[in-house]
Amino acid sequence: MTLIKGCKRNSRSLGVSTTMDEKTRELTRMWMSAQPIVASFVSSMVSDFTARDDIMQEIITAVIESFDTYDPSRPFIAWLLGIARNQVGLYRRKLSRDRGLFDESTADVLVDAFSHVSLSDVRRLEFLQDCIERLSDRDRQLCDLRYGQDLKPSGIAARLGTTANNVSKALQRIRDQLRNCIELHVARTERA
Amino acid sequence: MSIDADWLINGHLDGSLTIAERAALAEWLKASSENADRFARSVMLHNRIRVHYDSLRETEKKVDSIRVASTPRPQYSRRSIAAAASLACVMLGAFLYLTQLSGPSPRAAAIAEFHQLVIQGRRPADRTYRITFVKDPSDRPENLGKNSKNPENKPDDPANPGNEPMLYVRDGRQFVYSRKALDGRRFIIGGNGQQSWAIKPDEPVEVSGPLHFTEGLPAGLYLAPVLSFFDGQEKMLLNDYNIELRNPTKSTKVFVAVKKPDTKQGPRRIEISFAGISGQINEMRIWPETPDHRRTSHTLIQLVSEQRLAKNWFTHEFHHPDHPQNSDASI
Repeated sequence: MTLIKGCKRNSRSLGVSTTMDEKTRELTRMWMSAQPIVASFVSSMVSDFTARDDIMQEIITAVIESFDTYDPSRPFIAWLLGIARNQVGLYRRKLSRDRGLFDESTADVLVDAFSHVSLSDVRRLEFLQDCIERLSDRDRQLCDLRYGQDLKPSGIAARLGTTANNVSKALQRIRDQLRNCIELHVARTERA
Repeated sequence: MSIDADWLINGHLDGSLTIAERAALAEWLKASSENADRFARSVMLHNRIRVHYDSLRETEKKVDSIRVASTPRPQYSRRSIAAAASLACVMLGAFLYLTQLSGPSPRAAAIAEFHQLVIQGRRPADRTYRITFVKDPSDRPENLGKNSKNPENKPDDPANPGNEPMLYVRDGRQFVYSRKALDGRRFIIGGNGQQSWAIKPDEPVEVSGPLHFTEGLPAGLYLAPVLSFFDGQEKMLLNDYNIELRNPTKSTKVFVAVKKPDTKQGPRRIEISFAGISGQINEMRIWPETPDHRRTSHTLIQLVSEQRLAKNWFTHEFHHPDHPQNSDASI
């Protein structure tokens, strides 16, 4: 919250004069390209998808409110991650108990790590859809239960009559498989 | 990166780390920027998979909005069910053997009895249960009023027991749940193991996958001893609840399950009374979860008959209002 307040104070001194439509267009363009990185940062801080979506809504609101204060000489993603960091902090304070969030110092490390993610890293993930289609039926079923129905390993295990440990291992293997598949696609594209 | 770090990252993505494991992951992240970068790439992939499934879900919603729901659900082949059942029997046998060797703990004894109840529930038979919503005298009027906006959830009028909902179960796998709202309209959901369906007044029949309409059942998927839809379903209750067995040496035993504090889904408390020798369930009581824990009304499921039902009883066609066998609306 302190960052946002600080930004508002700066906006008055900067005297931004762009029209609303131009600003909206620019913000939309920049947000669309950076949004996957911000969403991933929030996902790294909260494993619950619903909580992540709630926080993302708060971030969008804060970004719109404080876009006047954005200094174009600074990296946009780093600025967004600063806002995201604050919103995750606000979410943390609303919780009555620990819900699996990292502490402040780990959050700083993650902000730094996600600041280094490039837009080309984001574009590499465009190959994901093809890679998911190449999974076996069983693996796609696991992905659907985990990502489509938002079930945790224990819930998936209950559905499939296996153990949570087996499901966790299978999900880890599937992610490795998808990562390798994407790498192969990228390598082929670069060779072509 | 070590295998442990991979395990921690994936555990974090799936929300299954313990506090100690999460602390270990945090330390690993802070150990080097390479570790944090590796973690960030894993989360990027994880997040992108979620986006992919979000877009699939949105597409499915649009398709569902223009036709009767027929969402494909996971199908369980006879072979996989038989294999899982065989494995479950072997596991149960091993479990019982081990508990006899070491002398069962109270929890182990409760688990063993629970598994026997589930096996008993799958014995080929048609069973009819009466569902009663039992008001507790200590219920505060303001709490009871919270349900008044939804007449379908209100307890039936004790003066009119004919309105009590009924649950019909075949072989522990197929079901029909029929209930009347206070305005007399009847709602029926059911399933024959291959598909589930719902009949609502003045609406077309909805048909979907085998689990889709089970959400309308009291206690949903926590009914395993009465109704279990897939092998391993009973583990949900054993994982999510603290369990104990009362009156363990008497002719009527009571299995008590109280939801663990960190469990979100499921009712607050379940009690199952059963005959000690035969394992026949006499009644099951279910206390719903409430935000303030003040309401103590519960749902009572009582076995009233094991009379054979019509062969096609568990198909939705049998329960259509215009079906000739259903003209007296006896269900």
